[in-house]
Amino acid sequence: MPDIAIEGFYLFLANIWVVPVGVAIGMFVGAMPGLTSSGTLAMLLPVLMVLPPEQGLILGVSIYAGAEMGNSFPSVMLNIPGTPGGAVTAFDGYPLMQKGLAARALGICIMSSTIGALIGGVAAITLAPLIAQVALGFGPAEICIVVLFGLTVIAQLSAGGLAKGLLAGFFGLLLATTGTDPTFGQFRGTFDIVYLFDKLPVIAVLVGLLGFSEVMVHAEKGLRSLLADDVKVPDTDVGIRGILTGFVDTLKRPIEVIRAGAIGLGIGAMPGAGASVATFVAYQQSIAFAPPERKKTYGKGAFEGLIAADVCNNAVVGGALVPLLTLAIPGSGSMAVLLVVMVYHGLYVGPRLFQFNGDIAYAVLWSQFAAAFFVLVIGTCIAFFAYRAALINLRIIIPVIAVFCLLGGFARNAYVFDMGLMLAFGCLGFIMKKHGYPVVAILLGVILGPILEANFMRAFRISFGEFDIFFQSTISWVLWSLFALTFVAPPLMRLAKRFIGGREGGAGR
Amino acid sequence: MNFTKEALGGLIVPLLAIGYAVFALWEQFTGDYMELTTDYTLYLAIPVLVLGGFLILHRLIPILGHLAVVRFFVPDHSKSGELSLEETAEAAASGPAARPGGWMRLAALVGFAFALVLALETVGYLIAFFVFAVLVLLAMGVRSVVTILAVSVATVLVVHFVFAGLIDMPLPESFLEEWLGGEE
Repeated sequence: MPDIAIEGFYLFLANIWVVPVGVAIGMFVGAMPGLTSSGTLAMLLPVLMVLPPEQGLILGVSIYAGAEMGNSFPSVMLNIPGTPGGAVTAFDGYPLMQKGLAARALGICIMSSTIGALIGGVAAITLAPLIAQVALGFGPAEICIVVLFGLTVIAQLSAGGLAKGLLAGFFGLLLATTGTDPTFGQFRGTFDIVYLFDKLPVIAVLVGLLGFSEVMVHAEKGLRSLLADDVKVPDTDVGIRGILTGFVDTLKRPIEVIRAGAIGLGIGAMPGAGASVATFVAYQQSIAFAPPERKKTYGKGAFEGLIAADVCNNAVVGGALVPLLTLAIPGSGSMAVLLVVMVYHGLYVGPRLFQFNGDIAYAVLWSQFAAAFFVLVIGTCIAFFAYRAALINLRIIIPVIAVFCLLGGFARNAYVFDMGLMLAFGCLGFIMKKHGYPVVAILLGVILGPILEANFMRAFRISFGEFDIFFQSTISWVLWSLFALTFVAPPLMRLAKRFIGGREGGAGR
Repeated sequence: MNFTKEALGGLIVPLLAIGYAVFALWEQFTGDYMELTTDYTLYLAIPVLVLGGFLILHRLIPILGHLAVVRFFVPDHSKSGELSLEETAEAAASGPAARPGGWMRLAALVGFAFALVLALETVGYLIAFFVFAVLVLLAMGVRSVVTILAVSVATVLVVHFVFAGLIDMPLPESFLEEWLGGEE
């Protein structure tokens, strides 16, 4: 095991130049409201696929990490988060800016993000190989349960509720059966279209659902920028001394940092819940643990709230990597893009990744430490002007992103048909977003469909067509009980919250 | 609140899902398919049919939304006044209210994009992407000639040199690309 970790470290050193590039791109993307990290990664898919697998994956993870830092700049300076994951940063960051403490707030954001990324990195590199070891014991039946488990968790966590999430997930699984039946080699669901004989082009689906639907959202709004009308562009200068004070402020509150880091890791590892949910939970927990006299300062410029939000959204990156590398279940849209890149290069996705492509897996895990370092360095360098990315005219960006999405749909097979399919799924994604259906669920269904089908058939052949195989091993019983928990836990938690909330008198947001 | 439009829009996704499930089942049960294949499709189609039917009923019969059992599956945050965390985050990141004419802009974007896909093989990627960028910018309400030309030309240059050149993507070519290629 350690051998391969060292091998991965050398592989990472050979590709270390990718990290600053990714972090810089990510910071720009994050600082620009309207560009999300998942949408950008979907747009950049042609580039990610052309690079060797380790470079593509490291670039993707670095962009994700950079974006989770970059989204703080406009949150603090202009009260508009760069991505939904930065929404909580604005609660306390913007009031600090109004008090003239912009530099200090940005310093806190930068240092918190760095530490968050470090926590995520340490946890991912220790946990991922261990979980992969356990997951190696999974047979085909267990893998089926894990896939269903992932879809249920997404459905349960999505805003539209369980029914819509599950419908989207199963619709995705059903769509994934398009093309050649892997077991018997028959065509199905192809509508006699030659371009669908292989299978539904996952990359076109992904770019449409994540990228083009986002363009459509902005086209419908048709705004020049997402700034609220009453926000003035500040001309406060951000000095290096203030930023350094912010660094110290962060380091003085280790408990805050560790709590938010743990929350970010845990929620990041859950499929479907991304940085936006994790930061809210971290913020609420930070309030819950604060001494009574500090509670009043939240929302008016509390350093603790800012730290909680920023540590958390960067720790999410490390947390989300764990299920991706060990179980091939992506924790968010961005991770789904990385999974597609892994599949494209023919890596062994799932628990066997560490056995057969362990060097690449470790290279990605090691790269997080470099990403943390560059978040600190690049973040400090661009803190003076980064928020200005939020002032770029969104209407000009729309055709550019649309062209990138079209190219992304085209990239894999070089069929013009795939571009059209990308557009169709873009429209589907847009309608789903409007009506509260989780886009990630249908995407996960399409990506994991072939894996589910292959393992389902394998399990059935082992057991000669009996359903018993899904209940035979201890692991499968543990997984089934986790599965049941996803249905039972949320209502129980809601009850518990009502109970506690009644006692504390709504100290919430 | 525009009730009918909302309700009809909410039907699109379940109807699509049910339609596809019915099509898959029909194709596989009438066609010559192995039993394992049809079984697998059936296991996936049943949840789609049940959940889709449930969601359609929920949309059509508003009273259902008051039942506690139903609310477990389809929470209605507008009634309880409490937004889920995800919705709160998205509301915070969505910015000010939209400009009017959203459907026109959407139709323009999607329409031009489909037109581009249809025309791409005939006119080649340079012309197609240039015209697409110009038309979408106009549809978005950008009126400055300099901006439109600069953005469109820059987009086409990036496509030509990075995607067709560096990444070597085999984009459909026509007379313009051949003429350019001949000169190099």
